[in-house]
Amino acid sequence: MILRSSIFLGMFFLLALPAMVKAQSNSSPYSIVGLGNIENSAFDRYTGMANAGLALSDSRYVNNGNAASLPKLANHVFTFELAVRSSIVDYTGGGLSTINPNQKPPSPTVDIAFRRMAIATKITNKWGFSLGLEPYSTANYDYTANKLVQGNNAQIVLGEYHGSGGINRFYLGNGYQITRNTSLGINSSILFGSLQQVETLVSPDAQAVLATTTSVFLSGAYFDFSLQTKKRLNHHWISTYGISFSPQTTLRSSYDVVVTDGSTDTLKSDPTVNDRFTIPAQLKLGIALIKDDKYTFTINAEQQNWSDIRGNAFIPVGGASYKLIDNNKISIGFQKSNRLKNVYGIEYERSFFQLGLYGGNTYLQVSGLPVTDFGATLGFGKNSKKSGLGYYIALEAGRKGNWNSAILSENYLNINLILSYADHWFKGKKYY
Amino acid sequence: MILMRKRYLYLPLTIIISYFLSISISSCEKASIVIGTDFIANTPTNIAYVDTLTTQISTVYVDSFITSAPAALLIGDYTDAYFGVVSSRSFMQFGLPASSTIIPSGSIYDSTEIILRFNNKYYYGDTSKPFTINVNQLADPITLQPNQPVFYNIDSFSYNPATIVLGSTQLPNIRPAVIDTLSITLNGDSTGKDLFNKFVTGAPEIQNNPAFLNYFKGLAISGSGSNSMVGAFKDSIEMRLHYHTPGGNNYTYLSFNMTNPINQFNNIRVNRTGTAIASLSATNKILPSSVTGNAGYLQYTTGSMVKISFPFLRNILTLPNFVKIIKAQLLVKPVKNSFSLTYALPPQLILAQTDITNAIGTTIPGTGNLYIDQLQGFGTSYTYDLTRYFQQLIQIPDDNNVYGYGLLLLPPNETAILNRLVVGDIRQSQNYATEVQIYYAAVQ
Repeated sequence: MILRSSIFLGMFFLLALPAMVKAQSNSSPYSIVGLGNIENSAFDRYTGMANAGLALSDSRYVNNGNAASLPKLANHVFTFELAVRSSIVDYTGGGLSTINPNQKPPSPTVDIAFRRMAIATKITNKWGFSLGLEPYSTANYDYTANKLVQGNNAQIVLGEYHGSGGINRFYLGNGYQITRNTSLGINSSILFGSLQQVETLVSPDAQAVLATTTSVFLSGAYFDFSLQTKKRLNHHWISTYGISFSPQTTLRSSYDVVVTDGSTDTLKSDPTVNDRFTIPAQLKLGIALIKDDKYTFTINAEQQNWSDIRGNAFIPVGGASYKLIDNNKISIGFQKSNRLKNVYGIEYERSFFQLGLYGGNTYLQVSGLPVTDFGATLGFGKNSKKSGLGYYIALEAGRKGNWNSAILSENYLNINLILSYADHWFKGKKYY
Repeated sequence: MILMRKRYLYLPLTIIISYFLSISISSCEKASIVIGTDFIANTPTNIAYVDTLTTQISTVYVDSFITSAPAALLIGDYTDAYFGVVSSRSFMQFGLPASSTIIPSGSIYDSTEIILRFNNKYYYGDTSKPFTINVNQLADPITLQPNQPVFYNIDSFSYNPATIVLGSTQLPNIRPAVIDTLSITLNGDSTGKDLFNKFVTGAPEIQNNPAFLNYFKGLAISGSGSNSMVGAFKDSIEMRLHYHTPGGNNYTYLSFNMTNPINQFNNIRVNRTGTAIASLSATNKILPSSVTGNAGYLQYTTGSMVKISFPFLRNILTLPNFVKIIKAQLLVKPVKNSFSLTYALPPQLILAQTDITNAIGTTIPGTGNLYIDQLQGFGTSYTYDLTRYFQQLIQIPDDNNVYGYGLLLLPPNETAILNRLVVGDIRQSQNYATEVQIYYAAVQ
């Protein structure tokens, strides 16, 4: 059974991963601003609880949002997790009119992308460790707009804008249990990646006359410090608390601009320009109540002060009708865990079911209206009885935009699949 | 039961993996959405505009052009303050009638007339003035010289001195919109009656076309020299020999149509004395606008065309952050009050590339999109897209325009119309100065 499952999973990812990497076709218009869409989902087992897992920990699943949870991993267990997400997006509200009369109004789009890979283990009884790769932000947009002439606002060409890329986060997480109920953690991350925008100017006879490719490369260290503690309230109930803080971080950024003649002839290629871009500090708080290790209720809150951030020539953070504002979010989640005993008589979590709600402001305000993000989540996970395999499916359905139809809203359904494999290591045979 | 439960538990995973695989395989098209130009205001590429490029305008002499088998017979004359005295006459031959060429013996000669039909009701000049047309018989047959395949506007043949004016007609005015046919009765009886007798007697001169052309050598139809307009007529010109049989009312005629189309041509003459371009000649083939009243003069049918050059075009390469010309437009503007309903502008004009030789080269696509500003007047212009031409021209290292590159302004059909244009240069007031509008991409 173990062998069959492993072969099945291996074949699935060998076949699907190459396609997943290139199948990102959803357009997220607001991702043209700043660093793109900053990822809200952690792609861990708390996604189905509206990602409200700051105060939670688990013995086999990695809690991506709080490194202080790592000491709670099972000893001598090596955990590997892989997350894939498919998104279905529909668009409503302002901005749906197209400049190009030949262009069809946008219809719901679907894409799929690899999102996260993580491994984790315990170094000692009190020291948990993980490393992983996941997106920090993504930019993916495609639209047409009038390109106006400076000075007289004449319109002689259309601009077609294609944005892609994103910032990736490679992190090393370390958590250390300092007391029986409290542990500290730090995620030391390297943010790296590029945001690319191709502006193609198109003449009225639909000929591409100029293409300007702007590539912004960003990199830098990013840290978030965390704490997790718990308190038993009575025989049945435990309360847990989590806090995470990421200080303001400055990323190195460099810019390349290449101008081509609508084809492949390079007209201009400027030398790289170096600059900096700042990510503001972020604070997250979480509280959870757990009954008999079976029912979990949790609430998270977070805040990040983007309004203080100044952009630069290549990463604009404000314009006549938009600006960055402080983002915030409240998430609440519920989980029911089904625990059984395995063939060795050891209790383990056979499956779990989750619900969640979330809402708040993103870091963007358009036409005086905040771009909000509200939604609900649903999760279901199951672990193998005889092996270390587990799978977890989480759905996130939400609306990013505003209830005011004056601005564009994205109605999305994210389908997350997280595959987990946990196995023992450094557990040699004993001979007597 | 256990088996069913296992299947139930793995069902979500099976469904999700199937779904992911199907999405991976299918190709998706990204939605294109407009969320406002404000979001793209900070791109490094800007479109800038400049309209101060110097245009150099000249009047170029036209040696000659083909007028054999023209689209229209141009006949008449007028005096134009800008171009001088313009006159045009048409030479042609007539062949034998297609039907029976024998007139019954005893028939009585009545008259001979020439019938002209307006060509698309085209005229140029003042139609309210009297219009006189003369018909002359040629002294010699119309024949091409050796190695001369066609006739040109400068070619002509002498008239038969014995019949100074074979026929003439004068109308108090011309109303081509109402009258589409003109009739000219030949004077006296001598020519017509002699021709009539040939057909009565079955003379050798009417036995075949060569013999007939040697006898009836051809006609020249011209204005009187005191007209105020030139009219255009169809080549379906006809000569009718009217007669009747005695003792009855059997009036009939023989119809002679034009033959040898190549031998029908227009001879167009101009006397530029007293005009700004009086010195334009075969020995003085180009006149800059600075010596011709700050204007260029286009009337191809009288031998002048306009050349527009851009000697400082390559200066655009020095503009800050210049990358590429995105769009270039030429607005050719007529001089204030230089055109009217009487002297209408050419409805279409093409641009042809040229160099220091002023030879007509490759044409620029488009015919000018003439816009006549009926209300204000100063918005009248021909507009051309010179984007590709300029994109190519700035690649040529010719900073002082020593190669003389430029564009010639021409009517699409050079020989069919007399409509003329007086092109304002940059010294004219702003609304009447020919200008270039260039939109270029500047990348910071």
